[in-house]
Amino acid sequence: MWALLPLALWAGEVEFTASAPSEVAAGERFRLTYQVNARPTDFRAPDINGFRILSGPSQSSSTSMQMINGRTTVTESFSYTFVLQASEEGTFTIAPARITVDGENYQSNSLTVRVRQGTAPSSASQAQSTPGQDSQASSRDLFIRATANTLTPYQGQQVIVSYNLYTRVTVNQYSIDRLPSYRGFWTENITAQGQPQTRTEVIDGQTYRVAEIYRVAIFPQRSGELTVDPLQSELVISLPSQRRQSLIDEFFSGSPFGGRQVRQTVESNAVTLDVKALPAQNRPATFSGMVGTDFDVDASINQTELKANDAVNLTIAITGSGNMRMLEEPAINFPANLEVFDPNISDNIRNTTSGISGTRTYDYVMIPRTGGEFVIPEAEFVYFDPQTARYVRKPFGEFVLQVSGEPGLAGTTPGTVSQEEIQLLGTDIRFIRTDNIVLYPAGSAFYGSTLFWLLILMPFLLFAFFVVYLRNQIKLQGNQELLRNKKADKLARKRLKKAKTFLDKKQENDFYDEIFRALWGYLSDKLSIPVSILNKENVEGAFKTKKVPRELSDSFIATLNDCEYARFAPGEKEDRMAEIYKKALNTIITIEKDLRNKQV
Amino acid sequence: MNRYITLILLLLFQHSFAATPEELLEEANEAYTRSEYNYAAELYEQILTEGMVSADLYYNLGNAYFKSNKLGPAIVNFERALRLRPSDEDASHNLAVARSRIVDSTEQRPQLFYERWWKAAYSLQGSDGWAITSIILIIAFLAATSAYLFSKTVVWKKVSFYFMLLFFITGTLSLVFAQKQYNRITSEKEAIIMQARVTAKSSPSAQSSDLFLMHEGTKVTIRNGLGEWKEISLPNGSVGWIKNESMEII
Repeated sequence: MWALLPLALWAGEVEFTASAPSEVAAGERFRLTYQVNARPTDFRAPDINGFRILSGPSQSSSTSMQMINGRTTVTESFSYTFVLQASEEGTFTIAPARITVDGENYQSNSLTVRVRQGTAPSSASQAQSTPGQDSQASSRDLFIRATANTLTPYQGQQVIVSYNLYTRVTVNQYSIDRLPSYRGFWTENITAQGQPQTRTEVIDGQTYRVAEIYRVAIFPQRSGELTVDPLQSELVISLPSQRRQSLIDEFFSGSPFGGRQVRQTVESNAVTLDVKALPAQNRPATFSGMVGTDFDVDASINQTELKANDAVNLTIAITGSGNMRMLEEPAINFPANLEVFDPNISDNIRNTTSGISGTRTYDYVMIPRTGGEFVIPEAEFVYFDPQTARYVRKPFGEFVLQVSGEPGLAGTTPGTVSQEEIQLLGTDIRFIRTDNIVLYPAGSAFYGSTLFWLLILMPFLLFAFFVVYLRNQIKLQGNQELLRNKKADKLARKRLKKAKTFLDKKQENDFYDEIFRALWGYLSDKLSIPVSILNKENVEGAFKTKKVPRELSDSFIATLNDCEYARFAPGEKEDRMAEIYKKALNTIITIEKDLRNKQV
Repeated sequence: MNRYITLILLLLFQHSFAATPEELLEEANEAYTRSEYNYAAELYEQILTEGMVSADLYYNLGNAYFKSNKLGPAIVNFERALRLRPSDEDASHNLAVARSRIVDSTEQRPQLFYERWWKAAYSLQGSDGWAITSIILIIAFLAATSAYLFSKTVVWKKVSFYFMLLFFITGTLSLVFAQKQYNRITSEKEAIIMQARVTAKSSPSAQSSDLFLMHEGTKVTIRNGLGEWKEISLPNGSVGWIKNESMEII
């Protein structure tokens, strides 16, 4: 198939071109194509001398729509194709064709075609005339060659690999069956749009028609030896018939030019690249891995004087040739109290046959929350230029914003961190607890529960009970003492009466015992002191606390003493006993009287 | 008497002896130790869905969320741990670390010294802690009262009277604090912003004008609610409406 020009045309400008191979062999068929990027009203072909016109002119048209940055461009193109056959050797010139577009006349270029002697396609098939092979074109007649523009790239450098189909037979159709896996590479397809352009090339004296069927930009992702696998293409070729065929056979073979159509799969060669690592020497810390050429940075800010809480736009456009889609956001140290939103990234990246290039634009929206001066410091974009093997720094910035408004005023979202918190920034949280965790059902608060109120009320109840009980106890005890106090006199008189009977019977020992018992008993009951701990010494103290007059206590003790002496003293026993009896009686009566008076 | 205390404790905590939550807790702690923070958080949450709580559980869950870089949930759980045990020093520390990582740092309205002291005093314990303290102090008060009533010497009467006064005042305060902390948990609603950016609106409708922007982890107080909207206020006094789903109530 002979080529159409790629549609690199611009609307508004009429381009009218003629194309044909510059070199053909005598007897070879080739195409002469006239192409125009507008709708022509008439087409006048030149006189074609030296060639036989096999067919044509056949007309075809195509419309393409392109959208670039939201603008739509519609391109129409028309082509007029002749199929020619060179009949004799020599150099021939094809005169320009004429065309009219919108009433204006245009002229195409003229072409020069050299016709060489000899090797018409038919001879190629004769070369492989051995039976059994005649159904396929040999690898000498048909092969795909993969070539890279460099075999020793740096890591990340753009390498362009083109796959050219070399043929000496007529190729009616081709399709790419299997693309290489490109393991270890980032790839971008940069094959030219439309029909591939062809040229002729002579290798070892043989003339080949060459068409580029696939072109790719690859970016090695690591250093070392990396291999690009072969590409596989399926072709439909026309093989000229070896034997003279009958007219009917020829008719059924379906070939337009008398050959047989054959399907054939062709594989390209593999390409091995020796990828160099980027030099560690002089590598800036800000280098983010971009390898390419002709990079430039354009940074601009839409205003530098504004009010607090107003938005300001910072635009950073990075232009260059390299793996633009993998470009990393430049690191900018924005001031802490400037609120910066994630940038809006827009790309204008072109895949052209010479590689990937274009512009990536970062659009930052920034809002100063306080007044004052904000300085966005100078930053830089660093890339590695493989041609010079050097790191290139492209500095941009610095920008100073003058923001009117209260400086340091805490806005709704202050970005500042207080001093106290800064100290904490470096610390980590403490470890979890693993021991003695007591789980309990949710909502079981102790406060306000029945148990709580019970525990609050219980002490009060216990307290009240305790107080009442203790009071009663004390009262009871007090009553007993009172009773004994009241009965003391009676008891003493009873004992004295008993002593009187002993006196009458002259029973001396019993009499004194009874007197003692009466006196001590009386004292014990009156003073609320148990008999067991009573003695003459504490009797005096007890009398004192009861405020009994001295004479009375003295006489009481004297009576006790007399009793003791009288018991063992010699002399008239009966008189003494009577005297003691009288004395004891008197003492008790006077004390009783005295205490009675005090109680009232 | 000891037997009865044990019985009461058993009744109170009987659920904790069910095997599953304890095992979950152990597994979660192990996961955390192995740095599988997401898994640990999941397990802790599972314990919570089974209806079991504990200040330590919330503390651990907060840690797990913090380690998996979920600041909002981490802060919510540290706050919950502190609600149950205000004196938890580790939880306050971790909360401070988590707060230092969030975007907003709304300033607290400066408090007067007595407000600060009052807050520091009632924050010493949770409501249950204060409840137990008040019971102990009431018992002490009654003991002192009996000592006063039945002591026979003047010195004892004086001493027990002062103790009586002391226990009465502290016991009453404990009760007040218990009630205060109880109110804080049950009625005073605070919430933590859970979405990266939340814009507070002037009224409960998406069309109303924007008032201010908040970021994940910010603590707000809920004042009012209407449908899927809540009126919230910030410590600095700003008030606005946000949607229920953008925050989590502590």
